[in-house]
Amino acid sequence: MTDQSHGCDDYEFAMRRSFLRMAGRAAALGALSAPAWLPKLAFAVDEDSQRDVIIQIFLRGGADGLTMCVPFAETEYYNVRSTIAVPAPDSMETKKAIDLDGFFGLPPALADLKTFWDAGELAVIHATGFPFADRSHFRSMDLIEYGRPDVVVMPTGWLGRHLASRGSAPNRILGMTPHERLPIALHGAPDTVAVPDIDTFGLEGNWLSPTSRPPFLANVYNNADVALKVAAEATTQSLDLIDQLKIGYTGPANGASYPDSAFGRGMETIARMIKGDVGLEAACIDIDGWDFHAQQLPLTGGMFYLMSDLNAGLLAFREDLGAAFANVTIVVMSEFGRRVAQNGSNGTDHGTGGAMFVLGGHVNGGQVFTDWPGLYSNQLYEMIDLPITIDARDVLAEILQKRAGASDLAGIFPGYSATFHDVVSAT
Amino acid sequence: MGTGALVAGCGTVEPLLPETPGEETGGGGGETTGGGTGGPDVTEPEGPVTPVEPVDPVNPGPTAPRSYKAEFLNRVTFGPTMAEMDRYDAIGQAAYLEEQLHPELIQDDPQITSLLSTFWTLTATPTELLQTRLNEAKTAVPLHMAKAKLVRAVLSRRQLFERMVEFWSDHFNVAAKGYTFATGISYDQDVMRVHALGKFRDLLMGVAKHVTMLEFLDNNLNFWNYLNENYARELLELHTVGLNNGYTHQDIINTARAFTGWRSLAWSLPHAPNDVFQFAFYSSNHDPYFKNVMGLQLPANGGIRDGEKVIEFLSTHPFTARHLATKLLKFFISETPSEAAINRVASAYLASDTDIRETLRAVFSEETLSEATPLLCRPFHLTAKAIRQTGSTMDSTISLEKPLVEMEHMPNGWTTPDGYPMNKDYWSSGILKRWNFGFKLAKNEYAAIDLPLSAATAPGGQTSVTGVIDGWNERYFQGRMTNAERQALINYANNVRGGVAAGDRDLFGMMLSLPSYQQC
Repeated sequence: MTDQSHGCDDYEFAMRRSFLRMAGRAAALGALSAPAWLPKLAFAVDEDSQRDVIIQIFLRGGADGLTMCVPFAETEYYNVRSTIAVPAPDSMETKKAIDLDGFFGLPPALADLKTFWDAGELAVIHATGFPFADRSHFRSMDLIEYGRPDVVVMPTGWLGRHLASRGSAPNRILGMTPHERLPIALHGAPDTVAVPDIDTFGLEGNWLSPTSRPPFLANVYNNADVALKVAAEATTQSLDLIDQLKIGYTGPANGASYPDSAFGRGMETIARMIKGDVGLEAACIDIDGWDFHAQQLPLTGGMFYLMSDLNAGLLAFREDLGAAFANVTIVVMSEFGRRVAQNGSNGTDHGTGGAMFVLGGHVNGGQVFTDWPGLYSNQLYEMIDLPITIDARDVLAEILQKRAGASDLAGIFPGYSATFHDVVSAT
Repeated sequence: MGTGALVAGCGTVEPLLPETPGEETGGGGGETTGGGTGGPDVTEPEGPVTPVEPVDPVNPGPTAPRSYKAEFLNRVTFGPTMAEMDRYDAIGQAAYLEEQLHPELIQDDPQITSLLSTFWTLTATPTELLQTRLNEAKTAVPLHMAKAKLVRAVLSRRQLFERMVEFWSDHFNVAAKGYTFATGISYDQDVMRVHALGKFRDLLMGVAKHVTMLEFLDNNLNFWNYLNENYARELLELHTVGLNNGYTHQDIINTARAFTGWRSLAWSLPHAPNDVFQFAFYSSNHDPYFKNVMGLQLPANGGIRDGEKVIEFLSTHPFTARHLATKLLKFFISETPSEAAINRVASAYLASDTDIRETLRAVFSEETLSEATPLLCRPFHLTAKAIRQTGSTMDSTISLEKPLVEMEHMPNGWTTPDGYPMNKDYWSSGILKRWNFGFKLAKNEYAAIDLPLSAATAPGGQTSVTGVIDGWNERYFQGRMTNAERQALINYANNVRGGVAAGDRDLFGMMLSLPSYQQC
């Protein structure tokens, strides 16, 4: 194992945090019996509420950056993508790219993101990625979510370390995912829970003694293995907070309409958590299935449907949040981009550099951030892949510092010194 | 990651689980904790429970060998039943293991046949699955397969065999894609279940030539001059040598070249259903030129032998041995296996020419078992364990799969080729659904599962709170319930349940939620 001391730091970090929380429990118990709406008021005046909610949208499987943000001005793009390219905006085709800046464009499936772009709420980082990713889905995803180039004992996630560095915050939910289990990015985070469905989140069973179970569970898990202990602690203290969110919900605000998909439902759940003011600071959500080794079909098939889902979910989320969207920063990322040239199956094999989208109210939007290399083979990584010209950790670190109050970037991204590219503004 | 990693990595950490590991003394735990009602409320014991006859843990001596009964039975089975504990006591650990390594000699429970007989897809013809009953089959197949796996995990006397089917099904995970929902039945029955305890080489070859894997990882689309690297990459990274172990990107490309032309006889619908199930080598699609895969030379015009030689080469590669050994140890023994254990198991694998039985003998050797640390039961395991240990009855005609759906651990429900994770870091955040499973099972709220009241009583007719709880400790925890857990249950029985324990379903649900029950 390399770098064991950092592994221990991670662990001690989490444990120290945990002890602080236990110390704060007595105070928290008092708050639990207060009227349901009181904590919301408390958070509204809390200076912490100035922090953005950071949302990681992970496109699992290696999303093709050359389709998500099309370099339509590159002739070579059309040479090496003869059957799966997105036509240029000035082509005679009906399905074609939407021009962003005369060089890059959005595919038709992401058409609504143009409204974010025009409002200055969307920035694209291109030819980006994590230099330690290596064309393996599984290792790459792990390391990216760890936020470090190596595997250590007791690893935690980059958002987990960020949340763990926050002060003691009893009786709130700092982090969540709308999936059944937390992604690695949130490992090590205190007060963080998986909430696949707000309305059914709670202890089940036809029970005669509903109030006796949470303290029993909190007690018996207090001595359990640390992974179980942290999960049990966050879960038991979330029960009352989430119960409050169940009351009076009548659907998305402002006429927003989420797509009927796991992603759409998940984004709605995240929005409910934000609007319910439970103290949320980070959320993670995935869209699976981007590994198009065959039949990529960006205009009509597999990738078109996935991008349409992303597009509709983001649009509904912004409408639903309304003014609160100003205090959200969303990062859309994947474990790697795909090979520049298509393969023999109308698909693409695993590559290196790709595209990342950053959306939110304080994004320096309407720009593509890149040191664009070109697409001829002598301009590519190992002659075949889009190279990484901007380390994706730069973007994550900048967001955490400027939008989420992080001060210890070296602890969050060990062994890395980030260079900011002015993707977001601090004010 | 287990707590062992912390101690190993940092050297100074005090034990996080003071009373869990190392206290198992082969049934002594219940006796020593049985009379504790009059004592103080023990929530933070200083160390391991003192056995009745003190044993020096460093040098136990020939007369007091350390027993690994609980660890052994909890890993070899999906949670031991009383019958299995009795069998273990009667014949001993070594004989028990040998018995389990030869499932073909074990007469299985006839209930399995009758419960599985309701699943028509498991015996359907290709024509039924892909033509005459296609729409029905698409939803029925995954449900039938999941329910069949649960029925077998609960009832089969061939427990280790079923655990290995579980292991290999993750190792060679496939998800429905195109027609593979239908061929997945054959993949399970003709590859996983045939080779689960055989030679790894045969298993790997069976997978490589099965249309389900050919379709899932796109080898059906892997042609000479039109390569598709998907299968080649995962063959190296997931199935054999492990990530970045001795291969380069060029080796991936050459591996893909070796498998060009390996396809289903009919690789896309519509075709004759029988053809869809049939492996075929298309020599016209095969790259005929010389190839070098990790030093293995494949002369020109090798034909189908190119791919077969790669399979043979990889299956006996030392990196494959290490990769499989590490994974088996993480599945059965500890999330942080020692180098010594990995070497022991890998050596057994190589010395036996990839024999899975021999490999498992090393996994379950006394030396290896002595490293066992608590593993979190995955939801499928937890479900099977609770049903089988309580003697609950199952109705296979209705939604028996419900707990697996709720806890999101449906067999064949993982969409990527790496299979469901095994580490507790991944599964622990699903704790709420795991608690709810126990709460609902205890109160008989699953329509397809009926938990008898007798499960919540105590063997021997005990009625006192401590008597009942200590009986549960023996039956369901093999004596490994911690003092703090035991005391919490006693308090719950006395303070919340009015001093009743025997037959109390609420209290029984709390017992199922305990950390020691969630672990193996």
